[in-house]
Amino acid sequence: MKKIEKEKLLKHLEGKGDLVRLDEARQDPLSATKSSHLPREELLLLFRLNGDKGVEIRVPEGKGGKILFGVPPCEARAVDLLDLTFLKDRIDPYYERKRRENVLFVLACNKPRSTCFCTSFGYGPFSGKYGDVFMVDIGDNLLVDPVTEKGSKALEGLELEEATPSDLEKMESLKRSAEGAITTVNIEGISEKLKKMFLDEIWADLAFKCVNCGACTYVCPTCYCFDIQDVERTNWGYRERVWDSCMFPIYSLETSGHNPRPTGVERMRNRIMHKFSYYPELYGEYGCVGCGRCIRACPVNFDIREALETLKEVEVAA
Amino acid sequence: MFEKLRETARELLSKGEVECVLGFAEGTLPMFYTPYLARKPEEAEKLVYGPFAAPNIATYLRKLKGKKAAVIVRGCESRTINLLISEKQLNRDDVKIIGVPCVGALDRKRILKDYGGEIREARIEGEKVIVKGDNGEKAYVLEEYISPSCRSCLYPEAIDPDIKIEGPSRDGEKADFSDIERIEKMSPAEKWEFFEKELSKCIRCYACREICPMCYCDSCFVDSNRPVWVEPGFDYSDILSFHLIKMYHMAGRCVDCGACERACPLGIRLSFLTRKLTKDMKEAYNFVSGLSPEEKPALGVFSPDDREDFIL
Amino acid sequence: MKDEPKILAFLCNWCSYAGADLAGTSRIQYPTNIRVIRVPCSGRVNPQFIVKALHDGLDGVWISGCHIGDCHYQTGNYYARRRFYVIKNLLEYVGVEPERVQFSWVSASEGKKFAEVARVVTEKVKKAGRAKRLAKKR
Repeated sequence: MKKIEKEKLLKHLEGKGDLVRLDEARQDPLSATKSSHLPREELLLLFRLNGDKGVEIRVPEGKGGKILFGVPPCEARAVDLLDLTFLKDRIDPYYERKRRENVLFVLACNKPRSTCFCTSFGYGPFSGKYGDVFMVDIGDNLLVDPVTEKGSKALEGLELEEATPSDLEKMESLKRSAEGAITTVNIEGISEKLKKMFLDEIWADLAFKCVNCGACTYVCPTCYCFDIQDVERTNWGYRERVWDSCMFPIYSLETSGHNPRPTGVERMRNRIMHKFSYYPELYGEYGCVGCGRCIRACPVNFDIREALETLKEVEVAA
Repeated sequence: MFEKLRETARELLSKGEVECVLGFAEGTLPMFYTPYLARKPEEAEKLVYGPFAAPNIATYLRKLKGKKAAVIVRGCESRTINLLISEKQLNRDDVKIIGVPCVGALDRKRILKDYGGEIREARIEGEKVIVKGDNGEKAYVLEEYISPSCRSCLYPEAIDPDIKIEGPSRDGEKADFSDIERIEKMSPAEKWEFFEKELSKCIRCYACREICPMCYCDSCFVDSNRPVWVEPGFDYSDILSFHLIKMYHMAGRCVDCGACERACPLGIRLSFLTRKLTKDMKEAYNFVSGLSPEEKPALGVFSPDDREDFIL
Repeated sequence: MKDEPKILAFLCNWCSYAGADLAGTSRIQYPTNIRVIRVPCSGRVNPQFIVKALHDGLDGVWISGCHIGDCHYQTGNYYARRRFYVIKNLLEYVGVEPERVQFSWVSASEGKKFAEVARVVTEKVKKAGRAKRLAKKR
C-alpha cells in the first residue's frame, strides 16, 4: 500500500473528469454511485419527422466520465452486481459507456451506520477489491492501492510514499473497529429455502406494513429496474429511460388489464425473492449488499434484516 | 405507560370483540414506531403510541376490509376515519376506535440532521427526547421538533372514540399559519424559486401518495398513459405537476396529519402544501375536514354565495 | 407572431361558447390568441386540464361558463367555482404568475362582453409574458 495526503490526491484529480465527492456526504439518501451509472432519467434517442425525408433518429452523445471520490465499498460492490445485468449476457451501450469512463475511488468505511449489515455477504467495510482505487483514511493521510488498470492510470504522475508499518497497523485497528460495529445477519441457505417458499403464507404477514411506495427501490444501489417511455411532441419526440419500481402496481400491469402481481404481497415477495433467490440462482451472488439504505428510507420502518430473520424462522416442508 | 392501552387491546382480543388491533409497535430504528397488527391477546403487549409514530395508521384500514378491527388513533387519524366513512370506504360498524392522547408526531429527520452522527438509541423523558449515539448523549425539546403540521393542530384528541385512553395531550386551541403566510407574501418569482428548491428533490417514489390514507384510488392519475397527465422523468415541470394535482385532489380531504412529509425519504417539506390547503379551506369555506362522518367533502358541496372575487 | 402568447379557452357549450359565436356573427373583433375548446359545462373542466395546459407550454388558460344561477345543468358552475378557487390559489402559491389563469362568466347574449373579456385575458397574459415556469423545457 502507498500513502498520500488527501488534498494532494484531490488536486491531482482536478480537471481529469467531473469530480463527485462522496467522502463527506454519506447522509445522502440516494446512491450517487448508482445514479452515475444508471441515472434516474436518461435520454436514449430523439426522433423527428423531417418532411419527405421521413423520420430522423439521433442518439445523443454521452458526456465525459466522472471521478467518484469516496465510494463506500458496498456501493462499489453494487456496481459489480449491476454489471451482471447490463454487461453479462447482452451489453447495454448506455451503461457500458459510463462504466468504462467512470473511475471509482473506493474509501474504506471507518464509521459504519447502525443499519449496516454488509458483513453478511462475505465482504466488509474494508474490502479492497471493488472499484478502481482502494483508499483508507488513516487520519493524516490516505492509504491508496490501485485495484484495476484504470485505477493505476488515474494515479499516474503522483508521488506516492510507501506506507509504513505503523500506517498499516492503524488501518488494521480501524478495520477491526469498523467490522466490530456491524451486525451480521446469518443468511446461509436462505436462497435455497426461499425457492420452496413461493406460496408460503408468511408473505402476507411480512407485507402488511409495507405501503408499496418506491422509496426502498430508488435508494437501493443494486435495484436497476427501469421503464422506457416515448414522449411525443407535434412532429418530434424522444425516448427515455427512467427508474421504475417493482413496488408499484403499474410495474407488472399487462395491457389486457391482468396483473400477475395484483397486491402488495406479491410485490414484496418479488423484491425479496429477486435479491435473495433469483439473483443467486442466476449469477451466484446475492442481489443485496447490506448497505441498509432501504431501512433508513422506508416510511414505515420495514427492516429487511428483520424480514430475513422472520423468513429464516419459517418452517417449510422438505 | 402503555398499560391501559395494552389491557384494553388484550381484553378486546380475548373476548373476541375484534379480530385484530391496529396500532404501532417499537421499530428497529431509534425514534421510529412501526405499524403493527396485534391478532392474539398476548400480542397486545407490543402496542405503543406517542410521538415516534410517523405514519397515519388509518392508511392500513384498507388492508383490513371485511375484518372486525380495533384501531388506535390520534386526533388526525380519527378525522381520517370520518372522511373514509363519508367517502364510503369504511363501515363505521367494522371499526372500534380507541383514542389515545397525542402530543404531536416527531419530525425525526430534523433530529437526525441536528445530531449529525449516527443515533443508536432514543427515549422520551418528560418533554424531552434523549438520544444516544456516535456524538454522545443529547437532549432535544420535543415541542421544538414536532412536525410542522402538528404544531398548529386543532384536534389532537380523537373525535368520538369508542374507548378513550386518558393522558397528557397537546393543547389544540391555537392554529398558527404564519409559515404559510410568509410564503404567500412572496413575489411570484420568489415563490417559484422557493418551491423549486424544495420540490425538485423529489424522486417520484410516491411514498407521500402511498402513505396517505386518502390516496386510495385503484389507479392514480400519475400512472395513466392515456392521457399522460404527468410525463416520465424528473423535469421540475413534471414533478410540480404531480404535486399540484395530488394536492388539488386532497383539497377538503386532507386532515394535515403530516404523514406524507414524514414519509418522504428526501425530507421534502410537503406541509408547506398541505397546510396551505387547510388554511384555504378554512378561510374560504369555513371548512375543517373530518370533523364528522356525515360531513360532505368541501368540493362536493357549494353555497350560492361562495366567494368569486377571483372571477373576471 | 412568434411572440404572441397562446391562450387556451375552455368555453361552456350553453353560454360562453354561444357568446363567442355571437361575437363572431356580430363582427366584433377579439384577439386571435385564443384557442377554444368547447366543453359541456364549466363543471366539466377538471383542474388537471389547467395544469396540463400550462405544463405543455400554453401561455394562459381561460375558463368561462354560464353566470351563477344560469347553469344549463343547474349547479355545474357552482361546483366549478370552488374547484377553480382551489387550483388558482395553489398555482399562485407555488409561483405561477396570477395572470396566467383566468375565469369568467359570459352568457350566450353577451357577444360584446365575450370580446371584452377575451381582450382583458390576453392583456393580462401578455403582461406575464411567454410561459417559462410550469412549461416543460423539452
